[in-house]
Amino acid sequence: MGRIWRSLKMGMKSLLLHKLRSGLTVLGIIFGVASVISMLAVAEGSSRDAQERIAALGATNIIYRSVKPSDEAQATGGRPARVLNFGLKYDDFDKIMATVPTIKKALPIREIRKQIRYLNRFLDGRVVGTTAEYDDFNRLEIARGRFLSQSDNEKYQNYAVLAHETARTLFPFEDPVGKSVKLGADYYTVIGVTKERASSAGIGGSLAAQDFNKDVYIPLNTCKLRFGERTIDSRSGSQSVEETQLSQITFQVASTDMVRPTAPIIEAAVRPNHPRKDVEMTVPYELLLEAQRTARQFAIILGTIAAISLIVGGIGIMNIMLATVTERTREIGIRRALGAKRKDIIQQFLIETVVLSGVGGILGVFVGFAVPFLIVLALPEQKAIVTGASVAMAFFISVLIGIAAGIYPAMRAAKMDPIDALRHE
Amino acid sequence: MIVHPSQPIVKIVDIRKTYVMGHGSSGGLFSRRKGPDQRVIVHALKGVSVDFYPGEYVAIMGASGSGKSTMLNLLGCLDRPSSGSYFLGGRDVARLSDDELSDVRSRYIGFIFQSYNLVQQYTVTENIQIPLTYQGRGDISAEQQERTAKLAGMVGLGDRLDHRPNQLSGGQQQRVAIARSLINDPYIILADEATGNLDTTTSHEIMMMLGRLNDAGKTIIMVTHEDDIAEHSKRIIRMRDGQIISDGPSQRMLVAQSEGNLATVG
Repeated sequence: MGRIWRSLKMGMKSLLLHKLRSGLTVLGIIFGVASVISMLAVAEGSSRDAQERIAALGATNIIYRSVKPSDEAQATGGRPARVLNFGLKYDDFDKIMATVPTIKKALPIREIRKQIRYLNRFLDGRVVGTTAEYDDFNRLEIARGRFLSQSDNEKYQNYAVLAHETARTLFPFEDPVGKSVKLGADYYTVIGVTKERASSAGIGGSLAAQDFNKDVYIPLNTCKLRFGERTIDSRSGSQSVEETQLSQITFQVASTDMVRPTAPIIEAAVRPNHPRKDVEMTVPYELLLEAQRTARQFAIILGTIAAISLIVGGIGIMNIMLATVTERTREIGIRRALGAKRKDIIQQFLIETVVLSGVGGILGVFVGFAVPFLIVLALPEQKAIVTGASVAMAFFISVLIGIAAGIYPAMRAAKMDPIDALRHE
Repeated sequence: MIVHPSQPIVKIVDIRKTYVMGHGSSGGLFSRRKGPDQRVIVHALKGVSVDFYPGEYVAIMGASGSGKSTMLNLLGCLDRPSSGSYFLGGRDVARLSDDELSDVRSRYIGFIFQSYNLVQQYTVTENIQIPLTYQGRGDISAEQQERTAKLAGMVGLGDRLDHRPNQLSGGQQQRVAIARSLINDPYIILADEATGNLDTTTSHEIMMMLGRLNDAGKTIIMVTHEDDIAEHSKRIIRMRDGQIISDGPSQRMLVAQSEGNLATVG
């Protein structure tokens, strides 16, 4: 131990003899290590970000949404008062629930854009007709009162649960629970208010981002009874009538393992009834896997680029050590004459390169922590996560590169004949 | 190993050393030369036998090419003879491996070179201790630290222990080298033109110092081509063409002997 410590100290002395040269060499390693760490941090940050957004949709969910068929919409353009019938039907829901055994739970949703009124205050929000499980599926938390229950739905109750912002806009000073809000032509008793919830991400165009904070939730049966299936959209010069039974059905299976076998079965049941492509399936779990694959490729590409800079740093070390060995031929001769074995010479030069790359590695780790921090400061949208594994990997690779770059110059130093080395000017 | 004063500390028997200079004619695929073999065999030492006893102070003299440098390299275990035997302290070191020779150098031989050969980035203390770092575990014990300071004091550098070679004069550097050659308490001290780079006054100082070491019982073998330097020794060996041509006491010793004889006669 004493010997290694002494060798380290002596190695430092030799390196400090040429401060600028050693400093520049170390700089190469610092940049290499820092770029590996920060690139992997950016890759990891992006990957986690994407995965969190997708996981928020529920990895065990399979989501079906009604979409307006585009060709049909264009064909009817300009023709007034034509009823456009599309999307998911109650039949679809019943059929799937009856035939697909792996589905644990399902959540039918009917969404309508409506003005929500209380006294003279109003809000253009989203009325969501749904069942008791909606809060569970969408991770909504209740701030006051309760969410809709199954019996509310069965009894066609005129109950409403307000989302956070809806409640704040309509009832800035009062407790909304027990009051009545007006949706369309009818009044609904407020039975609960949800807490604020971050909006969910839209993914790849198939699923729009959802803002849960301007919602009103009412029982699905009540929704069907009060609003029917038609929505009339009047614009200047044209009027379109759309008929949709359900806006979305979310199916939930017991575990992520069940997602992949279940999705094609549901698809097979739904697809024949919808030849016009007026429904779309989204499988968050597939997207999650896709995101993970993309993230891994992203990390490999960024890591490789960064590793190249680390290798360049290693070449810098090798270059400088070769120059050092030539320059210190005389010193090698002296040491050999005074009793140094070949392995002592190898050890000496290896220690010097390892000190160079180790110091570069340690400083590089600090810079590697600082750079992602600066990236996040400059680009708040970007996330960067420095992982322990990437730090350890970058550091050990830098030390390995130091050893690899040091071995050849050290061997060359050790191979010298002591007599020739002593005679060297 | 205990060395008896009556046994030679260095015993060289019929040592020969041949070098092959130049290149062979089979010099590679694209070699255009197809002529005769270009190699030249140089016989640097042609069968030398000599003994050195503990406490001797020997100067080896000769012109360049006489074989004296080869002789010094062999004596210093920096090289191995082509044939013959070399007993150092009773042990045959002529056939040792590279590592074993290194070990012998670090324990039993002290070197003093013409150009001092100190390690520039090391302090006086660290330079003196270099041979110790290549012995065994390489740790420096408290006892060895003390010995280092004592030797530095002996060569008059007790107040410069933390100086670097570039902060010292040539004479001072050579004194560091002398201290370094003594740190392992070697069997023999080999001095290779130790005063070659020094002015007359400093040379004289260094030679006086070596003389005192010899008086204290150290065996010193030096190589020089200067007669007045060689005269500091007690025995002078002259070499020419790889052979010893004369071996006898120095003028100083002859004078001392004749005075001694006169004294006994009178």
